[in-house]
Amino acid sequence: MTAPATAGAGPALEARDFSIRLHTRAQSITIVDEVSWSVAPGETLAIVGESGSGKTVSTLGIFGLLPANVACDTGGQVLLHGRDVLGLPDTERAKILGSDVGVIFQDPLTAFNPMRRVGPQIARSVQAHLGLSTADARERAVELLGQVGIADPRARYAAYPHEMSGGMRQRALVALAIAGEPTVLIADEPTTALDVTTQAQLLELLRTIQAERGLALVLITHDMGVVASIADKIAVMYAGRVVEYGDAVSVLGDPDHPYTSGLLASIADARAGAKEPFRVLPGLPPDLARVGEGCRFADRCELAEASCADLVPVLVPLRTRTGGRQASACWKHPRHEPLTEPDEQKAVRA
Amino acid sequence: MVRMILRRLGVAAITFTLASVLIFLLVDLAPGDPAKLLAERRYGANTTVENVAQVRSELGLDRSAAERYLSWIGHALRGDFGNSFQNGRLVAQDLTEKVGVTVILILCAAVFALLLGVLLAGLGAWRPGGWIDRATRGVAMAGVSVPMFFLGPLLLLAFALKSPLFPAIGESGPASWVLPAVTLGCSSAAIFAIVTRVLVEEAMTQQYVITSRSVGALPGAVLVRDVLPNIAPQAVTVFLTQVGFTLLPGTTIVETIFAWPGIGDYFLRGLLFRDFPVMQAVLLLFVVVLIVLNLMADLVQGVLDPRVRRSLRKGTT
Repeated sequence: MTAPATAGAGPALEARDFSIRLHTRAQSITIVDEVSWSVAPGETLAIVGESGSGKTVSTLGIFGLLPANVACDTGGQVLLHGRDVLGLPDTERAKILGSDVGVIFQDPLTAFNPMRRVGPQIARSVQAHLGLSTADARERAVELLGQVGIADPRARYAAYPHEMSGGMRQRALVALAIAGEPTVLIADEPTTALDVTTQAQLLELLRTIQAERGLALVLITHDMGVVASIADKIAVMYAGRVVEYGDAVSVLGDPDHPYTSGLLASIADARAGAKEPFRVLPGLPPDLARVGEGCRFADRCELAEASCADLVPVLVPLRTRTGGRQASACWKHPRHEPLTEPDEQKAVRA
Repeated sequence: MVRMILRRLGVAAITFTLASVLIFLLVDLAPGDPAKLLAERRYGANTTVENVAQVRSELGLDRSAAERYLSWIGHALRGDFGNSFQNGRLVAQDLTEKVGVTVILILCAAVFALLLGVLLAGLGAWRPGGWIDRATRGVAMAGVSVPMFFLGPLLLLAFALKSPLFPAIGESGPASWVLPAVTLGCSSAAIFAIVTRVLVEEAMTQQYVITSRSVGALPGAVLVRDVLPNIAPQAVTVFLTQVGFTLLPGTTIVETIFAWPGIGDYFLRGLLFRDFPVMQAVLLLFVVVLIVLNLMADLVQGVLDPRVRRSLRKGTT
């Protein structure tokens, strides 16, 4: 991993062995387990995985954006332009949110306050982070609504959320997220609630905005099609851990981890013909309250041996055919040769 | 909006008619015979059956129930509630004389309930789950549990007799309003606090609160700008319901304890004498107030919630 440097040179956002423990009345569960990744300015990192794999929690949890009734604590480090932002007090965190980091949420209907007009909600963020006057902030908000492709932004400024379509609300949510001119944008399943044509438009919008502003984009999704069209890097999550991480081309083109292969194989292929049955990954992700030692995917893995259940595999860099960077956390490494010394692997395993 | 109001008014008219029939029947069917009571008062121990029958016809009670209902409601709609059985005074005139102190009582109790309720809920919501939250919940639970007929005498004893800070009985200016208003408003304040606190708690888990935090809003700003506008319509409805269903009937108890010459006290005296016109008039008045409060709650929803407002506007076109 590269040493933290000044903004621009190093990664914009970097997670190092980041963990979240969730506390319920009965027990504590590690729902995010030593996750590491980084994203540089202008780069797009896609975090993929099934529902419940911890992809949303591992990102929004960094900034305390989990529901208020969730009690949890964090471990490891998350560096925003080299500065550790974990465990900051509310007031410090509030300074970062909106101004350095923007977030686009999954469900655009519930994301806006239903009692307030959309435009002023955006203007409020502009005013708070850019220090503009009320009138200027209003103008800026109208401008933003136009930039995200909302027709007649001046009229739409005064609309309530329920007066907008789903796609329009999602665009407005993008405007809200970039209102404070952040350097990092986190998009949590931004296209899930939209129909297919609107999805494509929104992805195009995200790409344009990212290019214009040189944003580091963290995209949380379970849609491999979205990943393929926009990601530079991919982190595949399973049961709270990153199981494969690397360049999009390498991971998508030549996945190492059996889970990644399974995810890619389960994409419905229109050319396969209607007779062909859908290929699905058998089984369900494990209950995180019950996982023990060993590989968490072992139960669903075709290649698993008894020894896979002994110790948790860690991410190990791989020798790729393309020369790209790729790492996977599997004892078997079915498709690639690990770069780490065999002794070291044994040491981890012992 | 106009169509909505007209529809509501139509429903209100039906409610009023049904309620008036019920009031009339219930009062009529209640045990106790006003003719006998009045005859005994007039003729003493040696009241004869003929005496009672004569009083009955004087009061008009020998007519059929349907006949009496129609005549009663017909006059009531014109503001004539008949004459009291006890003393022959015009009930409408008594009502206008006594309604003032009851309005004062209910308004004071409502303001007290509102302020204390918001204070308790706000204190609790500031740090959810903290000791202040638990303490205010405890206070609220105690407030709900204390009945007016117990709290009233307790306050009287403590703040009017032991340490005479406030007048004990009667209505004699603002100082005398305090104890009755607190007695009447206490349980409403507690219920309002509990409901508001729950509404805040629920609103805090909504996605828009997380969105607001995601653009750097601090907890105080989230509470004022996001949570309050969202819970206001429901909170107002709960509050108006409290005014209608707790404060209004509670006046009978509180006015008796503090010897206030208001509507509640008037009703209770009428009840003891089976004074049909008095009971019917007061109950009908209560029904009208309830109907008006309900209409107000509906209207407030329309004013506070843009989604309701819009659907109402659509309804007119």
